[in-house]
Amino acid sequence: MAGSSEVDIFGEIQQTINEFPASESENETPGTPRRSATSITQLLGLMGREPTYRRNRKERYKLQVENLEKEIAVLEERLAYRKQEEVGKLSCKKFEKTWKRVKRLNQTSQLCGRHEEELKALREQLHELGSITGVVLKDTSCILKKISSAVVKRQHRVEGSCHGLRFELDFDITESKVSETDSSSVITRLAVEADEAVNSDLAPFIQRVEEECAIQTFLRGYVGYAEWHSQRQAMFEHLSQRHPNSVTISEGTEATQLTFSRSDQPGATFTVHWTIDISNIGKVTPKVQLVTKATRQLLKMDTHGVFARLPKRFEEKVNSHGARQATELLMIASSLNAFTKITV
Amino acid sequence: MDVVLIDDFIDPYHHLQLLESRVQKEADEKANEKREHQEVERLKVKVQKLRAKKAWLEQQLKQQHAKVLTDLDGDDNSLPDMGPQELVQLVAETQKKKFEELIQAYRLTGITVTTPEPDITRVCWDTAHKGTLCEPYYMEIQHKETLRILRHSLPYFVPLETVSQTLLNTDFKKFVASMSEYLAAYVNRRQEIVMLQKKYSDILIGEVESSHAADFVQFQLKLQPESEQIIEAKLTYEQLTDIIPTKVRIKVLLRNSANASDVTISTQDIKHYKQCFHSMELTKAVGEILD
Repeated sequence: MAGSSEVDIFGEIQQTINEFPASESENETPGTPRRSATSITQLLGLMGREPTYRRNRKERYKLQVENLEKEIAVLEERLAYRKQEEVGKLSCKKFEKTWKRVKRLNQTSQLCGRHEEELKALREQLHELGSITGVVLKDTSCILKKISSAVVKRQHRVEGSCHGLRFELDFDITESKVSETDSSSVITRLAVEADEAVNSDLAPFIQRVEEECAIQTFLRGYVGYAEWHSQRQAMFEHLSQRHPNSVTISEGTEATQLTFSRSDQPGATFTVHWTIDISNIGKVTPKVQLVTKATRQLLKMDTHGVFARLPKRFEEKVNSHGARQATELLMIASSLNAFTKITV
Repeated sequence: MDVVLIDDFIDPYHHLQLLESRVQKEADEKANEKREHQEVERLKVKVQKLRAKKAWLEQQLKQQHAKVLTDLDGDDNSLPDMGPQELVQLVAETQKKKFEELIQAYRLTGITVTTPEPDITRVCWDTAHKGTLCEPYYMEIQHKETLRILRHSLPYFVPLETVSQTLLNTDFKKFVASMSEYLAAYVNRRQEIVMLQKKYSDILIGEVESSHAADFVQFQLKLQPESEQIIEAKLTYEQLTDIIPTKVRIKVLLRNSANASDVTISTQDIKHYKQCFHSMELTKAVGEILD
């Protein structure tokens, strides 16, 4: 019997089986011992081919293992992708409400303990990140769009706030596999929605960051702007509440000026203009200026040029003590008849 | 000595040797066979396990978790029909994944902080240039009685020691923000140089030279590809947090074959070029000059 390939072996097995008598009565001659094949291994052993068969069986199993491992890798990737896709689409805010509902149910409340500990740790980590970065992220969702085996596109939506000013980012990230270990990520589209109170002020800055898809620039600038914005709002609110009769805040959702005057000396008013500039590259510069208005009569009496020097003095005080303290000092000075040098 | 006698002695030994080597060979073959058999059995078991795993994965893919999760996410207050343990597991795991997504999203701010060990804080600064995400930088800080920097991957020119002495133990938030500013500015300046070389390679003469910190940049370019006039620009960024140059020097040079009378760039033009460099990032400024 010739041939060492698998096909040959099975052909030979078949031939050998056929050569064996089908039943005792049919082909057996009296006195001849009966031969029968009980297993392929025994047959092959008789043929002297058992080791070769075992080698080939080993190769077949190895091939099966290899193929199964490849299929499993593909399935695992698909499952991970699917899970990411399913979870990504969900709203974080809404799902927290669902968790609260589940915790309240009688049959599930006791099962929630261990999970609640883990969720608490994650919430604390988020809180810490919020306080360090100045950005509080509230919701995120993502839709995965696999373009090819090497390129994945994700459409993200992120909602958050900085010092009370909310924002929403809608952007696409395209991730391309450069090599086995390396990949590159590029933001290919960005739409920004800032808080409506500051949207018009920030319009040129937002337009620029959208054109350049510069999310980091936007967030850095927005955090700086929001910080100054909250300081300004706090100062205006505090002073208007403390001096309701003498302080007025400019109209509109975005108050940028505070005016005060003495009720017994209506000829003089002091207006603090506080604007917050943000450049195209996200550099935030607060500008606090004082504008004084006085009647002609009062100015005639101001022989020492106090009114003329006030804005410059105020600016110096702002640089050294901050806007709030500088304004309060001015208010105190004006209410204590600091202008007694102006004589009638 | 009788040779026949020696032969009588040699033959049996020879036969004995042959027998011994045959026995050894058979023993080796049996051992190999046993090993092969064991290997085949091991592979058989592995195939069975892999088939079971494949079947489980296929079943997982078929499951309708997506619909259940979407229903849970909706405004309807009803809960799906599943066992309490399964429901808690599904909702809790999904909630954790959403929180982890939010934590990951903080990389967009350029700053993320983790605690790999109880007394170690790791800060990661992700950098970007416009829409392209660039390399991250790391720092590990130990906090026992005071905060102490254990290791970091920040470039040497970032004034880490000066800033950490002032801020690390007094205002951690400001320290992290300050490092972020230095790194963002450095990557921005560096990538502007890369973009300039890529976008204007046809009019640049030679390479764009710069310092390691990219706070000094020097290059020569022709206003038009065929022009004999060359502008040499030297830009200095006085602070490492600047992304717009603070000092700009511009010189007009002529190619060898040109005459002084070929100079068409006026003082006004040079003033305009300086203004462009002073007011915008490098590549945009060059684009503005060429327009």
